[in-house]
Amino acid sequence: MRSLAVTGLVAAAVGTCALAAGWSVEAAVLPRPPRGDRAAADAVVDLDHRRFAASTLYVGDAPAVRGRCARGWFPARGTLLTLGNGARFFEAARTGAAADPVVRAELVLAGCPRVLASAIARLLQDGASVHTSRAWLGRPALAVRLGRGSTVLTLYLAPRGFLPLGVALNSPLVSGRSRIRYVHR
Amino acid sequence: MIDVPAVEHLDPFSAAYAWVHRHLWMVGWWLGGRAVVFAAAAASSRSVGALHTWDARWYRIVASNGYLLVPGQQSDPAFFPLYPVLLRVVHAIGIGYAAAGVASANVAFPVALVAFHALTRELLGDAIARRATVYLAIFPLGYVFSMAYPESLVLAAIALAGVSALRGRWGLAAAAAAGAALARPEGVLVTLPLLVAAWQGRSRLTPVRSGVALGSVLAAAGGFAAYPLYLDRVLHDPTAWSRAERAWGRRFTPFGAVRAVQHLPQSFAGDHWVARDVAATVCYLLLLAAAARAGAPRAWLAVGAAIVVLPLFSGSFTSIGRFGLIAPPIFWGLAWLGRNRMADYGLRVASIALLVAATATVPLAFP
Repeated sequence: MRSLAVTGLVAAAVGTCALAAGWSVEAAVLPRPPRGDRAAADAVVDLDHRRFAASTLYVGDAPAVRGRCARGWFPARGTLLTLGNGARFFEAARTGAAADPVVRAELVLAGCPRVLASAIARLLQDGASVHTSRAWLGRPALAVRLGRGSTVLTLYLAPRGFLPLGVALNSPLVSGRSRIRYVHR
Repeated sequence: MIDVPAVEHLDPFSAAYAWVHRHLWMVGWWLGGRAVVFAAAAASSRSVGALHTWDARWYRIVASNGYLLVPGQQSDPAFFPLYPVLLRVVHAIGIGYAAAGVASANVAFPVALVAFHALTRELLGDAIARRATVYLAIFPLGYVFSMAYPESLVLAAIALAGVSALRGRWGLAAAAAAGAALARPEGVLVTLPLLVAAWQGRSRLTPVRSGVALGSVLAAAGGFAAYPLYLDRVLHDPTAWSRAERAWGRRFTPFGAVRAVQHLPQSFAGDHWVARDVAATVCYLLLLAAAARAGAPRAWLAVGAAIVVLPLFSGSFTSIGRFGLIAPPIFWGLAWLGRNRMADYGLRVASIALLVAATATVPLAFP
């Protein structure tokens, strides 16, 4: 009986050592994801639950224009952006990355939830360089700058919950910035 | 008086020389096989960069930035941590991640060959061990052992755990088993042959040694569990691995294998290369049957079958060709098929030809 107890204790000790060693090696060697990466990933999660966004867009040198973005059936499933100047942009849900890059950039700037989430996710997946700083957008914000090649997407996130408050985009096709308000979930 | 034979016996250089001399054939097949892989990769459209494509970028991102789960999107917690840990360590000595990835895999592969040969010799004798090791060195999908992937590392760890257990080196078996499980989820399956070896050797072991032997079984489970615990620490989500897998369309269900077969026409329409994985699955199952005929222990056959069949329950055939590379019985089955000289010669020629073709097409198809 005693020998069985010794065997069990030694086995448990070896198993625990393996667990502790494995965990320690991971914790000691692998870097923790930077705060900006985690904030951007959390923003993706939040955006995934939202359907409507209202925004004020500043594209290039053009005057500010208001935008309203909705996700739903129009009649195909996708995202529809209606601008204050009457322009309407639609991206079908199934088209995804194949959509017109200029339209897509407008949708990103307008904070259209699914499109913005997809743009952030793609930059994170591609190993974009991420820089974080403090910013002010009428209220304190966390500025997360995601850079990949010649494209830089800057997210202005609420410090708690990481909901996007605004976006700035610099790409070869479109440059602009926006203030975003998510109407309701 | 100096005991000359005893001094010679202790001389590490002589011992190493004798060992290398005994294993020159293995060195030859290893170098030959890798030369074929590197030459074919160099001739491909992406040159040797082909060996650092596909999932290699995910391992590089984990090594350089750490884990990050992007829910609903393909993200890196789907990849187990030991290989990125190794990449980061090698990178720390001044080697770029791409070179570190390919170098790590190619350094681990000869270790895998040696451990696999030793394991096979213990279980099935010298003749099968030699043939199986040759086939492993030139296996058609074996180009993966030279890619920035963890397969060579996992095979080395599994074989080392197995042979260490058979030789009663339970501490080493525990370390290798934990390493295997920390490198790929299938590594945890090595628990089965370790458990059998511990049970069969129980009468010869003291209670403490029995504890270490049983501990080697738990070590694999411990290595496996270390990953979700780490994910809980950095991502506050111990299930991040399975959530990330789902974004790749992999979700384990009891009827996943049925789903994989049912969806085969759509999978094939989307990507013709899935036919390669289906063919590999069928070949692997036949080779496992051949390994059973060769007298392979049931525990190892169960490991091989689980490595090949379990991924099907995630609803997809994709990558089973690659997953099977870490199942030792597959190569034992091949060695049994090559037991007469003509068959052996034919298998070697066919393997090399297919290895060239498979390597050259790496830029076209995800392995």
